[in-house]
Amino acid sequence: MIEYLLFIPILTGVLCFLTRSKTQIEALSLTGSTVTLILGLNLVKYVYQNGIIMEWTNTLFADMFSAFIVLIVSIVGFVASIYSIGYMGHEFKHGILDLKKLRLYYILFHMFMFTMLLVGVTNNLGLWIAIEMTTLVSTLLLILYLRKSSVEAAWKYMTICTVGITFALLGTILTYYGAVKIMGESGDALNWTSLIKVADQFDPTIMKLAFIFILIGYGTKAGLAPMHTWLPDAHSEAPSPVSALLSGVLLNCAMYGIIRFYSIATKSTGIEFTSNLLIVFGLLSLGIAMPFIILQEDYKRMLAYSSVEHMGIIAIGIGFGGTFGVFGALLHMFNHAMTKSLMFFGAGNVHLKHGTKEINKVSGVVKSMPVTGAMLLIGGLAITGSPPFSIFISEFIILWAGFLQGHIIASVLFLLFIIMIFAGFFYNLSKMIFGNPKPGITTGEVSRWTLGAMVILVVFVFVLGVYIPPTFYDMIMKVVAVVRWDDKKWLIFGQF
Amino acid sequence: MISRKKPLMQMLGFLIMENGLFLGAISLTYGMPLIVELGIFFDVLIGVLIMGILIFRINKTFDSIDTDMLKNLIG
Repeated sequence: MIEYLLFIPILTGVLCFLTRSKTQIEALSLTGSTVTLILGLNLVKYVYQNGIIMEWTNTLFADMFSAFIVLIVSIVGFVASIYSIGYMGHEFKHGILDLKKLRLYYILFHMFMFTMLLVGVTNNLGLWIAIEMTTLVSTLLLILYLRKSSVEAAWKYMTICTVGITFALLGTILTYYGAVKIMGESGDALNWTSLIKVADQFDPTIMKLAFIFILIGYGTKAGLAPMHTWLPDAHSEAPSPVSALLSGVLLNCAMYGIIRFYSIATKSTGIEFTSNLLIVFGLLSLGIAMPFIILQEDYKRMLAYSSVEHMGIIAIGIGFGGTFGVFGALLHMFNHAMTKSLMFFGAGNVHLKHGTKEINKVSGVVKSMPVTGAMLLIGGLAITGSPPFSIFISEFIILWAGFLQGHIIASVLFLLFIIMIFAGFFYNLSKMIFGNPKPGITTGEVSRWTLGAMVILVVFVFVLGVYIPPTFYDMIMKVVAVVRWDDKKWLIFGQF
Repeated sequence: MISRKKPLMQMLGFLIMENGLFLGAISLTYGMPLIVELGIFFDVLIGVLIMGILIFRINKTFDSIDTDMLKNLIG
């Protein structure tokens, strides 16, 4: 079942080589991502009902947490492929990309999907390999335009991420060293499913060291604060659908790596050590992102810094711990993926229309592009955590968990940073959305495809804000059980 | 790696780091499982290839391979 899910994006990518016209490529890409979505949902449903799946002599596996990542990847990937038709079609029509580049874009897009799905379903600390592969593929997507700025962003992205992730490899080696001491030399000694069973027997000193290296390494990829410097460059220079994938999904994939190690390391090092590290890095992300959001001049960079902020919130949620903290963090992962993609799609439309990324050169979006403007407003309200939308719920749960677990100072700081970010973000966004359009900007939307993609996301943002379906709630509770590992029965019986 | 300005040197720094890690892995644990070793090898190979492409691109767009040129994106 898993191998089909992985095979479809590769197949789509390969078939793209054979296409001859723009329509063919788009139809193929849309079919590919639809099939991926269906298979992904099917996998989620199967895991939800029947528990863990192991395939290919235990190399591939899916538990509820993997399924959750697969869910996010396939939904955002599907929506981004719809959006790509509008966005890339517009670029193609204006001669910025030729057919060869367009084909290359779709091939890389599906390869990128493949690598991100692979991150979720690897039953191995070799997760590192999958995460490194995402860096490689997305670098190629970044240099698609060959502008000076995008080459620069790609170089920064490539060097910082590959070197950063090397630290994660060192952490992985240390974990393996710890595992070999307990389980002996075997191929199983790197598998999650076997590691978690013996997690409490690890040597705490080795695990502490390993966790620090993992946090720095995958933290670089997840954009946690002192290592985030590549993120605003890469996310603002990529084409908008790719920015959405990078911000909404790829950061979550790296976070997934950290959380997996968190659940293993916590068993031997004790909860204080890992939690405090995560809370410190999370608060640092919020604190560093804040001034950059308030004083930002480029709206795509502003969104990228907002991603740094939200990754910080997820780290804080995991750090606060307890069922509520982890639940809030996981819900936040999902909500952030949806809302941030919506914002990047909206920003992409504005960019296509105005041809600039500067906040001061854009105004009156709601008048020149009524639908995009309205959705940007909804997305902006949602991403800053205003009440009727989904992110409010998850931030509230995380905050609640913080006070519940007695992290008073951290919770107060968290609240303070969020309020300042709300003010700064909304001040900048309202300058773009309201007012009169700049002279020379015609009224009308860029493309129907882009609006369709945004409507799907708005539905998620709205619905999860007022009502969490029982199945979805149950699903996240199962993921919480995987992360906290309260219930060992789950592994033994292959069921929850 | 930090003190070097040429991207080529930075790439070599990356390779040396990977070498060191592999040696560390072998001395600590008699080597990782085969599939992981192969995966890492593949990733490093492709990574260096892509870095090569990037250096070529930097050379073409900026007319030199000095990372001092790469400081337009700030803030």
